[in-house]
Amino acid sequence: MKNFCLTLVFLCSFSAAADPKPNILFIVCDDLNTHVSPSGYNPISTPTLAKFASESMTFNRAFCQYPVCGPSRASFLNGLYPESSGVIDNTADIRKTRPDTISMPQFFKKNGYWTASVGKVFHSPRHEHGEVAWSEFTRFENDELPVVTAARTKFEAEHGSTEDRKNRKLWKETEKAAKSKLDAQTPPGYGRSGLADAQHKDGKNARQVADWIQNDASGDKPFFIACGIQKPHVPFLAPDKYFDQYPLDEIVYQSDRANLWNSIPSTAISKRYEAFGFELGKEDDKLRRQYLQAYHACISFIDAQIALVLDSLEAKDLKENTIVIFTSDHGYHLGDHFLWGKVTLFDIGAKVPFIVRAPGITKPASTSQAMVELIDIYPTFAELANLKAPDHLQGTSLVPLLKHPERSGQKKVAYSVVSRGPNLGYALRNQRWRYGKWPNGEELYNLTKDPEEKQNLAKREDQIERLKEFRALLAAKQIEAASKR
Amino acid sequence: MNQQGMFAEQTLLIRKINSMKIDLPSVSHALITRFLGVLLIFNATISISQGDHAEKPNIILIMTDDQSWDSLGFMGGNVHTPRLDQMAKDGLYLTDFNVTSTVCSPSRYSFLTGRFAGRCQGKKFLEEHPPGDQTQVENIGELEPDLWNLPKVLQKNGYKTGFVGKSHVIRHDWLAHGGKDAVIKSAEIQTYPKTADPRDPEVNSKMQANHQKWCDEIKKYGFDWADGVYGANLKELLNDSLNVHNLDWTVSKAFNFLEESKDEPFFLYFSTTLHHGPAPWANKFSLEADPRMTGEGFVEDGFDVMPSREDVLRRNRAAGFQDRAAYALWLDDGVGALLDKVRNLGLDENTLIIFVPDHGSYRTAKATLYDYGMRVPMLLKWTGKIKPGSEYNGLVSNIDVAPTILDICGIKPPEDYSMDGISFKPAVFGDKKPLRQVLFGELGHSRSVKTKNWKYIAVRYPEKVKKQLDAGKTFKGFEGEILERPYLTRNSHLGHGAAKHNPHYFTTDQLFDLKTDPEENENVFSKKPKIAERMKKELSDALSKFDDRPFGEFVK
Repeated sequence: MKNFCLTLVFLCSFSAAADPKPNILFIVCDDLNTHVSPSGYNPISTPTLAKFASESMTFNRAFCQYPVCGPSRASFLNGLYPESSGVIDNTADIRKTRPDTISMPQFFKKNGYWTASVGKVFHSPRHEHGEVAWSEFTRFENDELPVVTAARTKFEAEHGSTEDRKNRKLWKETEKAAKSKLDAQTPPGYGRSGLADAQHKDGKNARQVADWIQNDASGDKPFFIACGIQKPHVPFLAPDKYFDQYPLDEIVYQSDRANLWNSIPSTAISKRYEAFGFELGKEDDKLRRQYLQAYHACISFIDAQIALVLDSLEAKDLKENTIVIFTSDHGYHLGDHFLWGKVTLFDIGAKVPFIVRAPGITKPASTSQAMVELIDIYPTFAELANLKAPDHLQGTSLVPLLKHPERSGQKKVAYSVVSRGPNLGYALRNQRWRYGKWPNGEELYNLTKDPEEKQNLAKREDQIERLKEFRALLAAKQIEAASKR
Repeated sequence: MNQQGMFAEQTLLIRKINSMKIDLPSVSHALITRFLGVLLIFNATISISQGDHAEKPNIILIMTDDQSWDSLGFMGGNVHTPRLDQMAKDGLYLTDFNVTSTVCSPSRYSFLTGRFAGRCQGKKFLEEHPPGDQTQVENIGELEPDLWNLPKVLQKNGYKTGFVGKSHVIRHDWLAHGGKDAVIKSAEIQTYPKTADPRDPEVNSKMQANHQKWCDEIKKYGFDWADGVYGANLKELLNDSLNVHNLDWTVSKAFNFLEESKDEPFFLYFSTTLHHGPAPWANKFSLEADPRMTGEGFVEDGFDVMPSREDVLRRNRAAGFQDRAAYALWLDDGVGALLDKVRNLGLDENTLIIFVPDHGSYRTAKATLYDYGMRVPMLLKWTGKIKPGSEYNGLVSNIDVAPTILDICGIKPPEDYSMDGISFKPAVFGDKKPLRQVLFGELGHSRSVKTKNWKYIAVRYPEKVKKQLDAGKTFKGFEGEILERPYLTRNSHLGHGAAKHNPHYFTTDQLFDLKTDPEENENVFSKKPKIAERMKKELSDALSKFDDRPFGEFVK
């Protein structure tokens, strides 16, 4: 009997090997909202993404399951809703909350793929699954910023080497002070880095991927490469030339009415705007322009780096045999609703760009309005690679939609959650409506008439029936989302 | 299948039907009348006694358009229709179901009211034929806002009533007629260039507004809910891009209705534009069209309620059929999607699903009183209630549908609801006894009576035309040809096709032996004078029920 099983396994793996697998390239950005031209945002220039979208299918309604890096990544890398992954903050680790979950790269590695990761894919080095998931993995740092080099020269002239034991503490403080405006997390740094593209983490990330592709790093195996692009996460640092593309006085944005928050539950707010130096209900035109310029510069910068990655596929003639998905871990507020940063369930906070190129399947320049969740990535890649996906996955393969961009899809709502103290806030969206449930109230937006979600209709009497429907949908979704815990 | 093959199929079918025992000429007329009377009383008693504790089943009436037997596999059509073939096996097949008028509007009028189309009191119908005039029934009849009809009565009895798909039974004044440059005259309907792109938001908002207008209007006729509505045959959308069938759109609207209504008794009227023109076998009007082009303009989100159109073509090819036959599988998929939805919602055992075309069109018998136009298959499926694989061969018709549905729902029609039909509920639940001996038909200038064995058709022109004929006037045909007698309908396109393919189209008196000549090719009026006389008497009796409507020597 045992022999028979072994033979069977052998036969199966043999037949699998006989079926050539497509390569997979998964490009995931950090904190990138839908300010890219394929998502319909035109003020900034993303020629690489525009060209890529012209050869691919763009999903206009794709959403993260949790608008913070750690939980979102744990969710889509394992194909689980946050309530099932058990990761609902940046500290938790799925290896503890849900041991033995087979992550997406681990699944592909197990199935004969050469898997590689660069940059930020798993949330942090501490969350890195390492060799279990990857054949190769690496993270880079930015080269020293010119402001730091200048400070070092000055420091060494005064105090001697920064390496000197006695100088260490003072140099640390001096260095921090020198780069704080550019490089801090709080308040978020921003500005011209003074570095060249290749000296930035993302310059290195992209070049590393291109290098793997050009040098056949995967050998005879098909590859699964995850390219973790790290901008536009704060600090909003980019080479000078990308800032020059966006003169401050040409930046366009729309201010909100001061009483916006009177009708929206206050727990929908994330207070990060304070760290950026803003006040709720008050516009700060100068500061907003500076941050917008920096965020947009970062996007144009990463757009230029991604070109290196995509071009390398073409140069190696691998374009027709490589499936590419481009997306982000969640969205980002840039003053919308007076908010800054992530951790909200508004569309700007939860919606992501989502572009798929599956040669021979997706039609060039096609778009889909179907509801997509990032947990759909894992089963989609699995089906495209003709592999049976693990049973724990909660997403749905997008393959039927890739073949039919004109279809609405079977998924009626996209679902996201976010922590608020001991509780969770919830959002459900379909093509017409967005419903939010918070510890202290509800939201309902008519996305057709109010795509920016500025008029909360949850208290309107003519919406009682709709609210009832959404409450019922949410109750069912909550059970479903937690069902694989 | 060649002509002969089709004929053989039909003959076989009709032979099967004719195993029925009762034949008009062998039973005296008085006896029949008495028998019918008793039957009617008997029926009434049943419905009252059951009325008190009858459940309220859901009803879905799926009405297809212009559908010939040759687009249905189970009737011998050279097409792939697995779901409908299965539906025939899963339920009851009425093999001699007829529509009393064989074009869209009057047939649908009769389905929804239980009245003969010639009794219509719609504004346009009465304008065209004031009381005292002979009627010319064709696509001008419409539901009356102030008279009872089936959905209104259901609504009054706690049903949620829904309308999806083709109307063509209300507001003829909103429909464009005529050729390429037709313009809707009503100020209530917004217009745009025929070549306008529905993706243009400005154009699209007009299209959406027009669609909303149609939905709002339909709700005035007994429907609580209306969506996915076509005013008529797509042309009224006055736009090239929208002049395409869209089953995905209508099925998705039906799904919305079913999901919303699953907890209350409901009636869904689901009416397809298939297989009416624009020619669905020319796939550019159907399976190759953008599925986002709908009766409400361009719907960017798209739909996902039934197999994709490529998949239809693929399965049709895999089953060995040409792409030109794929439209039949597409409709089959649409019906299948609805059947699956009902099952998935757990409504199978409480829902009666009826499938029926509004009339046939084989051999261009649409707009005639020949069986290829009148006789259409009706399928009824009700899990656990209707015996699978059963057949009923008795004569029944579209005017019987409203009384039957009300009877099945245990609803007594209001006293002031005038209907011409009878309930065939006993046949639905397995009783094989014949329910009617004679069926009346009317279309244009012709009238008919049909029994199981015979059909008599009379062509009589109204006074005005008769005078012209007597004066030797000739008439112009659809292709400019000279006609000695005018077409039976105002619509010369319909008249032209029907006259071309039906040899006795203009003949004053026609008698056909349906047993030996189911295709109605040989007129035996002169050969069978006794039967002819009896059938003429039947027609007189039938016509006498119409108030103030003359017809030749039958009703002065």
